[in-house]
Amino acid sequence: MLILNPTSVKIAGVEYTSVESCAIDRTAHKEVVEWNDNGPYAVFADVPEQKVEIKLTQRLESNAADQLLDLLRPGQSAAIEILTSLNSSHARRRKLTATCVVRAVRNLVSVGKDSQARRVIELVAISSDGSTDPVGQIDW
Amino acid sequence: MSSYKSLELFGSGPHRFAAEFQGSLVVPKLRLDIQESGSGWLGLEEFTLIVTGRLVASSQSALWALRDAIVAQLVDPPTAGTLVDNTGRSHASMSFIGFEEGDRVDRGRVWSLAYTARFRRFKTVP
Repeated sequence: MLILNPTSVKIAGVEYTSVESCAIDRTAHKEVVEWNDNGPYAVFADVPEQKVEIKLTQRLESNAADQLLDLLRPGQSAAIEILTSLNSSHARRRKLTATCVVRAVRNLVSVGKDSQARRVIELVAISSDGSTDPVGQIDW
Repeated sequence: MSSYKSLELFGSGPHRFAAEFQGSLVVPKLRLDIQESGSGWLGLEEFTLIVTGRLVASSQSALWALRDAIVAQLVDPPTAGTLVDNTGRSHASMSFIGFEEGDRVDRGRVWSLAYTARFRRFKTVP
């Protein structure tokens, strides 16, 4: 799932402005693939362990207060709340929530004519009991 | 389709058959209390077949039923039966001597568990 220009993003209760994108990636952490004696092709596959990773890309603007934020540290647990809508109206607004653990906070600067600064926050979403989807979605 | 004593123990999921080492049991003579170099020959090893596979079930209780059905065939002393492999080849007088489960039950789309089962044709029937 890729959310471009979400309406609002809060991590640990703090609003993060100018978030360009929020990518929610679901990947296999453990794959089970099995073959039998009858031929070369796999006859069974399953993904018993999945990882849900969230990557936020925030544009850092000069003099913006959020440049000074240094609140998130790897290993920290934080609730994330993302509001999104089809357009700038309030039509079909959805709220995504998840409990996450911070994996990395990276600050990227590109120099030159189009110099830009960005902060990339990588999180892994965790489930409350192992079977519930760690990312909840509700109409808002 | 494989079977042991006409029971389809492993049919819930993929499984493969392989034979363990076949040949002579050769040990250093020193192990036989013979004070010289060289090897002593103690006869042919017993024929052993290994089944490696994965039990697959739709629920935890169904997986336990599969596990229990297999473990129920581990008896003391072991009794011989016919093991039929995936190609239909019959291996007579095989005793079921071991069942080792993987380190975890995998729960994804289904419940599954990797295992290794071991069958041996004893030279001397227990």
